[in-house]
Amino acid sequence: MGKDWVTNSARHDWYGVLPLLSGSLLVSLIALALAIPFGVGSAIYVNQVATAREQTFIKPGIEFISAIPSVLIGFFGIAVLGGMVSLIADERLNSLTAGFLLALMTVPTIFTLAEDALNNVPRALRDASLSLGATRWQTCARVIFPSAITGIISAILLGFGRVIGETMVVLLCAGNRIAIPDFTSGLGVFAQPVHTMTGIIAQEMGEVEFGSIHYRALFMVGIALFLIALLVNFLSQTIAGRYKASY
Amino acid sequence: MMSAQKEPKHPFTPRLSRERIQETFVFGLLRGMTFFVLFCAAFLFWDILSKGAGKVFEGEGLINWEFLTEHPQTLHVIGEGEDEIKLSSSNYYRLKDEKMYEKWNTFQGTFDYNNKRNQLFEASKAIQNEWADQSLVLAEARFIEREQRKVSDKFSFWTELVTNLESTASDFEIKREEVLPMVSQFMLGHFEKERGRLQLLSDQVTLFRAQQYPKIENLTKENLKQIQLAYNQFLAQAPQTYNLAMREFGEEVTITFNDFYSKEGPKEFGRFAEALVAYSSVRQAFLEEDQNMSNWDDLQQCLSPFKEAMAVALPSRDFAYSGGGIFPAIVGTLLLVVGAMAISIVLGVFCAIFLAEYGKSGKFLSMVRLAILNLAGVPSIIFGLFGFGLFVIFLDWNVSLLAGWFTLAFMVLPIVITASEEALRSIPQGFRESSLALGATKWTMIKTSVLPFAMPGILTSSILGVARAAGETAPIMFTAAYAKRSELPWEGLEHWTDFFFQGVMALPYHIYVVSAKIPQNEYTADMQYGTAFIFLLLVVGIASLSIMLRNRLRKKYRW
Repeated sequence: MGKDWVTNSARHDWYGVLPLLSGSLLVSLIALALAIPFGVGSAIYVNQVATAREQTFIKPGIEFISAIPSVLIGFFGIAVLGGMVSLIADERLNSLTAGFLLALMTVPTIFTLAEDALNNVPRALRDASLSLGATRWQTCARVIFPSAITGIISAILLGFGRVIGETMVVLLCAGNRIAIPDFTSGLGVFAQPVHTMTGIIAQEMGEVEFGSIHYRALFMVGIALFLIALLVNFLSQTIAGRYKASY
Repeated sequence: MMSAQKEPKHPFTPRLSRERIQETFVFGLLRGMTFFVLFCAAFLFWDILSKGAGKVFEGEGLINWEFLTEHPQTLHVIGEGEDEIKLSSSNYYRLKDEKMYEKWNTFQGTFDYNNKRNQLFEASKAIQNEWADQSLVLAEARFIEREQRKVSDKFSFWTELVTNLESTASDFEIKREEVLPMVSQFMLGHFEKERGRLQLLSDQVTLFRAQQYPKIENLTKENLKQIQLAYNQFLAQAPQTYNLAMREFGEEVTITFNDFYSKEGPKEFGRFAEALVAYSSVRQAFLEEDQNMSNWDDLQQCLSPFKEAMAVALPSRDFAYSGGGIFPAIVGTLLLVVGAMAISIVLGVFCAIFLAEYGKSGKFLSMVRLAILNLAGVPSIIFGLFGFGLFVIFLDWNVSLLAGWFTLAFMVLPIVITASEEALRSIPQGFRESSLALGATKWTMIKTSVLPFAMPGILTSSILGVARAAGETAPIMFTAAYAKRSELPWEGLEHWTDFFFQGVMALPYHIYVVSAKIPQNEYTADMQYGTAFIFLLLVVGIASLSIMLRNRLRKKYRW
């Protein structure tokens, strides 16, 4: 857990995963902060409010986003979104750019699974609530949402797994500066260029000498990433399992 | 679903309660969020489609075929501002050729042309005979004599330095023990110079120096003599190399000359002139200046007007990659997808047969299921890392199609297994039972009454997973993809198995390369958007095709 990742230096190379891990987490935080409200919100809207006609195009529309290859989304970030972000930040490519795009990529995951969870809430619960005189929003917020919360949390966890494992978008758009974000700069911390665990593997694996310490360090980063992904998967399965058991 | 109830409006409508207002507000917000997400996706889509279409449909025909069928090209920009002309490499060189032929034709029309041409022919005839002549044998002897004379001069100078250590030290104003290292430095420097002078022999001189290096370092009088002897021997072998080169280059001169003689075109002339230059550089080192050089000067004079006629200046600013051309990348992507699909379906179907037909539920099976489930959540870059470690390095397949196929196949395997198992389970139990009742073994039963009916479902569901493989970049980055490769996959194969062990270009990796690895300028955007457009069409095309296929087959196979 060293603090520096320095390669090709004249004196001594350092392989510390901390700057990469913090970069990955910062980008994921931004992405999830955006994707959770949008993903869950649209799931609630489609499941509870939307008319049948709206449903026919919203659902395939959002699911279609997940069919867009990630390298194209990254390219869009470089070509278009970077320019927009530079209006509010110093650089074109930083964790904010990557975060926005990752949020867009994660919304379908969260949306689909959360919508499933909402759909699985027994109809009787809703009917009972409405017949007691609650408005539809009250029913949503106090009856249906709490009943589906485990499913939604597992959806969010899977979304997190997708964000932290995403490579091309962060490689293209996160700015690739290997440093621990400067947390003293207030809100500016979200607009700093960072490097991520996935990005470093993709960037340096092709050029590294076989069997060197650098090579092993990259594999170690890969293993750490693998363990994170497994943990997230395991958690989401456990939670989803408990949800299934409750009905 | 509940649709909003419209309440009749009349003057006595009661005020909406706070809860109602809250509800309207929140639902409006949710609706806004949903449509915002859709809007973002639509904007991304529209941006790539609209700007990419500009590149793909530009030019004279409906479709810019050149962009789709060429290799990645350099963009040549001629002129500036309003009159700027953008040309891809192939067009640029075509234009240059056109201009060259034009100039050449004008030159051919002049009186000067015939005159100069006759002179050129006569002068070059002599050169042509030279290399086939017996005079070369003579030249060999002279070469050895000349070189050995030079060497003995050098060595006698060094020997003198080494024998009279005292006087050398005082002459050079150094200490006595520094004399020998100095002389060995002289020698090393001499060999370095010889390497430059005797172009064709430079490798051999290097080898010679390396062989003699221990002796040069521990320089004594005896060693010096031995080195001289060895060097003389070495020089005695040298003319053979020159002789061979003279014949080779001379032959080239004759061939290109005859070509030029019969066609009289600028390109033929260019090749002829090139062959002459190569020949002359060898000739200069081998033959001394006094040997019939007069022809050579004549030749040079005759050549110049032709060269002038050939030279076409078309000044341009060049931008690598910006000219477009993505054919190898399209081919590579298709190859990767097809291969990965084949491997993953074979593996996946066998795995699913085991899970659905043979596996007895228990600890082992639930562990297998858990593993498959977890495999689906592993980031794609980890698959790339795994493929790199296992296929590229451990199995020593290098960066190759095969390594990319297996890496991608492993990545989509969870999808294929799940889909296949679902398809197998949807076959009615009666099919199996009736087959078994007729006395078939279990494998025969699976082969004849389960697989044929499940296959359409397996295939179509799996293709959907493979569509995902087409869009992935991370797994192929260091297992299969090259940034640039001049040959197509079926070109330049020595043996048919080489086909599997070659890297290819791939669209997603190409997009990464052109958008992050090459210098960006005002001309790159067009080509990037064009590539992105084609890639998007390809991926969306595969995905929607497989969805359509699935829907159709689902209707067809129902029981």
